[in-house]
Amino acid sequence: MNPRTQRIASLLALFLVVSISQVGIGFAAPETATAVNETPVPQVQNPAGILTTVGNKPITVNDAASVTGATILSGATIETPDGVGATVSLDPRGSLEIEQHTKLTLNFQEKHIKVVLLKGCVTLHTRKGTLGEIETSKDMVSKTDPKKDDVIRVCHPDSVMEASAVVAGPALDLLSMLGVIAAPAAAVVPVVLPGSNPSNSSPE
Amino acid sequence: MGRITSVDKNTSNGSTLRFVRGAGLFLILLFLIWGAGSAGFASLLSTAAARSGQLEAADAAVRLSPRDAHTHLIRGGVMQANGHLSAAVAAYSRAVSLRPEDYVLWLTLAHARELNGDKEGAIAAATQAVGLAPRYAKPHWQLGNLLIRAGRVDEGFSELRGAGASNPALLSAFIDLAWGLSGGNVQYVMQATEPRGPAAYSALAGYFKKRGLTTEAIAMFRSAGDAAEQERRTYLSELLAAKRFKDAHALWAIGHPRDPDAPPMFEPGFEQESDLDEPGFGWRSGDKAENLHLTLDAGDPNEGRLSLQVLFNGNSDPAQPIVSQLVSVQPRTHYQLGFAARTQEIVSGGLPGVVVVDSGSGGVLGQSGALPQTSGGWRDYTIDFTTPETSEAVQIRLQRGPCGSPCPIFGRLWLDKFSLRETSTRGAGVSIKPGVERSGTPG
Repeated sequence: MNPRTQRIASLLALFLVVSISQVGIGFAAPETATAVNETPVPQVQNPAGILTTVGNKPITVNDAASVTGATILSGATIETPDGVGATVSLDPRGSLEIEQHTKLTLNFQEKHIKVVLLKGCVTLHTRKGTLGEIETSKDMVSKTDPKKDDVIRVCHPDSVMEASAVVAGPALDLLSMLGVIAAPAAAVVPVVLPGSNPSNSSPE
Repeated sequence: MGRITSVDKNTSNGSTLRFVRGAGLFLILLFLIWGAGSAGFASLLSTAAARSGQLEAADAAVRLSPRDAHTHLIRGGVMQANGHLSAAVAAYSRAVSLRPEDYVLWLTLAHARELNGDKEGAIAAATQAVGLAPRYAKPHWQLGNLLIRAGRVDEGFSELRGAGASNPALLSAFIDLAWGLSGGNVQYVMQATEPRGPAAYSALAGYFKKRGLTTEAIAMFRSAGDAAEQERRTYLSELLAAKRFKDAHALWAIGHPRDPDAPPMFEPGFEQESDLDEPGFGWRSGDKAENLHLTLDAGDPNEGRLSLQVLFNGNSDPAQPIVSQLVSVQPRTHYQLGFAARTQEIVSGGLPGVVVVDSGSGGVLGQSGALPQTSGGWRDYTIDFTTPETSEAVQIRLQRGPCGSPCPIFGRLWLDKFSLRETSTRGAGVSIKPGVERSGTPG
């Protein structure tokens, strides 16, 4: 084999090696891609609700204990125990105040808030352009006026008696929601002194 | 005279000094009294403001004690309660500037900022809180939720994992959020929660159970191990009550790991002590009568070291199985149950025997018939039966024959060497044959 033929043979060999390795990579690539197989990160569809509970005490959302700061998604079932109320902020549509000992399902879309009240009492605030509905049974639906900022308070028929006792002291409830005071029934100095640096004891 | 004058001067100077000192002390005390009094009064006003929601009281508290973060916090709370979110944010910001090392104040500010539409500001404040209290759940919880609502879902779940690690009570809410956001995608829930410890696996098991995802729940219970034993036992009882025997067996097997080639019956030779009250697929005592005693007997077993001795000493309920075991089986399959029995001076109107019952329908598939009153040694028995089309489990019972009430029974009985084997391929026969009793060979 003369030098010229040798060079051509070398170049041809190099070309073949590169080509074959490319084919190999071409085959290998999809395998690597499928091996990862991660579920795509879901997006928060519409602005989610923000939960605030009285005194940062837990309530149940979809049967799970939840406290202030929790994200409320449409379709949630919310239940408050005795002595603990809550608010779900649904900005920019409005907000829902949930009194103690109340159970409901909350659905919301862009311009619509619907509460199915199973027990207890709620107050629904809606901004102009949003329709709010509170259903206590199939044929009992209270609605807000979407032409203006509006508010309705509804109690489940079975809860009307106890509701009247709960109405008193809304400002106190609202303050408690901030975690500023320990409990609505707290006596002389019910102020929670926000501790300075956290200790290393039991994390809360 | 000059000397006397000199003394007077000294006395006068001393008096002046004492007066000045006294006045100074008085002023210091007055200042301290004023400070303590105004702080105390400001606290009273703040409390009154918190209880009544009156802005005037909150403002007065701030005027009296302007360098007290607490008065600003209360004022912010009153503002927020009255819907003045911007003013509330300003008050909280002032409180934070006065006590910047307090993570609770940062969290309060973060929450108010978000309600006021300032998501980035809220995230910044919550991040400060996390830095101040990295081992506490609350800051991670709030920051995580904030990030998710801001569309930074991956970062948010990372924070929520931190919250769940600090406070397992938050795990269910965290899992529920992952479930809700992903539209019920189990794989995503696992990805988001990244369970690492028994608490996380246990929470996932409970959540999947609630959602009716039995296979996933069982897998999580398996990973949770002994930490979830109580929950696992509760779930097992629920599955058994719902006659979901296959799932129940898979769950029960977590606490009773066995060789895949092990015989289908658990402890067929009574070689180890077992909890006769535990629900599942081990031996269980059905009749709790005081006159009925079950013991493992080392004297003259049929095989191995021990056999089960049943001592009858008076009244017991003939309708209740004396001892039983649930066994997982295949539908439409022929089986042969074998066992050895020995009896001694049994006297009763309702003699005991072994019965095979379909656990789904409760129908009797086969039975040994009444065992002899005195066997004179061990005898081997076999019962052939075919499982129904929908069968998942059978119950093998030692049970007395029907008799009136009361129906006392006396004597002793020993059982040993149970075995259950398939005798034909699945689907070969669909008829349910009555049990075939074959007299055993006297031992």
